[in-house]
Amino acid sequence: MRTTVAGLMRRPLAVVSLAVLVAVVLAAVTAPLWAADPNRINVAQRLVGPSASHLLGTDNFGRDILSRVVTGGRISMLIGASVSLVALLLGTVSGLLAGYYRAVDRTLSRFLDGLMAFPSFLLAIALVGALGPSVRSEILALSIAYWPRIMRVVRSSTMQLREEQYVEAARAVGVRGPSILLRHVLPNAMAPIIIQGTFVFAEAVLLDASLSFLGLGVAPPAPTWGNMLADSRTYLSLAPWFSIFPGLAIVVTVLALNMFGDALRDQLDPHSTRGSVG
Amino acid sequence: MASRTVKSRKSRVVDPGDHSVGDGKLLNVVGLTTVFHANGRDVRAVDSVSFHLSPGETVCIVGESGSGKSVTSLSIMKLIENEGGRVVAGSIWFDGDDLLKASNEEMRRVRGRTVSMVFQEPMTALNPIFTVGSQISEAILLHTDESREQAWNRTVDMLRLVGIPEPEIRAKQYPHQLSGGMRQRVVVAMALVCNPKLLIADEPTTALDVTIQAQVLDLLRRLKRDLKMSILLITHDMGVAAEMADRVVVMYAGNVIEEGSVEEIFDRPLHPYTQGLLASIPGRNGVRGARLHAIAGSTPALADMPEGCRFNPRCPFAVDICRVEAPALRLVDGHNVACHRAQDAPVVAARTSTAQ
Repeated sequence: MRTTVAGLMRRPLAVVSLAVLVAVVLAAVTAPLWAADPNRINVAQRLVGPSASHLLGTDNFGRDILSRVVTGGRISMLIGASVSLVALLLGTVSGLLAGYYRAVDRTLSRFLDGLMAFPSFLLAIALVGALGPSVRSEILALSIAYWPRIMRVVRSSTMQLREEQYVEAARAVGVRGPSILLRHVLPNAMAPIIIQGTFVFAEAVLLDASLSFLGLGVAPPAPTWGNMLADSRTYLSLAPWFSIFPGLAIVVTVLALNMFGDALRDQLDPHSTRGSVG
Repeated sequence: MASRTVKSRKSRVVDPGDHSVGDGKLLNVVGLTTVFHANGRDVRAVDSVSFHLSPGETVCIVGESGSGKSVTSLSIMKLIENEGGRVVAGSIWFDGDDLLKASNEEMRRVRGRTVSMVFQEPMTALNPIFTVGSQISEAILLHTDESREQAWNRTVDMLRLVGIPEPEIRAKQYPHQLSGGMRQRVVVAMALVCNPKLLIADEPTTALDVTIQAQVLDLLRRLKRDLKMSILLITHDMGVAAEMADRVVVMYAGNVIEEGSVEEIFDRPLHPYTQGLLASIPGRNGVRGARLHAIAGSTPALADMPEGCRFNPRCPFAVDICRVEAPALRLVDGHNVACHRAQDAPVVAARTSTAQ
């Protein structure tokens, strides 16, 4: 663990992306302390460009874009983190069981194969549509959409690890199935699980933005990056900052998450050819 | 020739029922048949295998790769299901109980407690992310009510017993910090820490270099004496068998083809296959520089077993009956052999030339 952290700190991309992520999370978490009320309407100040009083300008209701972007970031981060946690939990438990017990594999994996047949975006739209728009149903929908992906990764690691002689040796001294999974298989499969987690985080942020762009996410007037983009479309030529800043927030966050995930994979996976670079 | 065949069949056929329960045998495997499902049908990796082991005895199962040695040992531990195999017939009497009828939970209590296993690869038999001490303690904590401290103390004692210097320090180290020989000692310690009655060692020295091999074999012999256990040693190395075994069971293509005391097998091998195995040991009785003996052909594939005696395509003495009828294990000349021609002149002659 300590060597992993030290190794990551030697990778410039990892350091930069981590710094960006920390900044985004900090801004989102501390927003209520310093940002203006994201929902305060000021008709006199509609679509004003970036200035000293509104650093990122205002939107079509005269609301401060900076505070809307950071407040939207709170929701995006909350959804991204929750989705990756829930999907990791579901995927890890089911992946361990399916990889270790052939009977579970035959049933559960076929079910998840079916789930995987739907593109995750369509699946998420259908689920959010069915569950109704709220933060909780969005988290649930996205978790289910990403569950099969993590399950596949964990399942294949488990199938590989169950053939390891130390797993067989553990069975031969009488260790029970569940403790074999938790003590001998899971810790050795942690690396790909963590890496998948960062990618799911990034995609969940993106998918959340897409859903709220389509009006399926968190209901207005609560700001999200997606619904800000949707609202700003009409004013693109008139007030480009209205589109640029929420868009930039999405790009920077997702890019940082993906870069961090890449760096983590290079660091944790000894087979990665790019592992020695950086 | 016909008369010879009749004569050989008159010899006593070994009846699996002979080995009844509780007649002083620790392990009695009777008619064990294990199949694997492949390409839509069952193939028999181990077919009607019977042998037994008395308390304090070392029995070696020898045979080449694919003869069913490891499948036999995993079947005894009931670990074969994890490999995709299934025991379809037979019984495995251990200390008066049929292990094949034991529930999973009963079997779990047997594993590591009364029957332990040592695997071939010390490099991979230990989990890389735990200290060796914690892996040994795990076995103690599973099978006893001991506290963590007691278990740890016993772990250190056990490491000392298997000849690891500075066991207090070594116990806190990770597998990658230990050499191959050390790791195999740790694996042995892990298997023996609950004082089992039977140790199954599946090629325990194959992955080690010759010096370490001798040390590990010495260790097993010493521990067997000190801890009063029995050893079932699986090996393809006739030299290891000669050194360790009280009795030898020779397997070929899933069958036991010869079984007897180590002296019987090495001095008077009756089966042409055993003779071939012994003849292929370098330097046994050959001249320096002479060509090493090799048994022609290779082990048949499980899915493609020859009719009759499974060794017949490779056997220099095969006659018509060998290609039709599978020979049963029968008592000939003091030990058991499954060969139609075990008492026939050419085979008898061959045994004197291969034995020393």
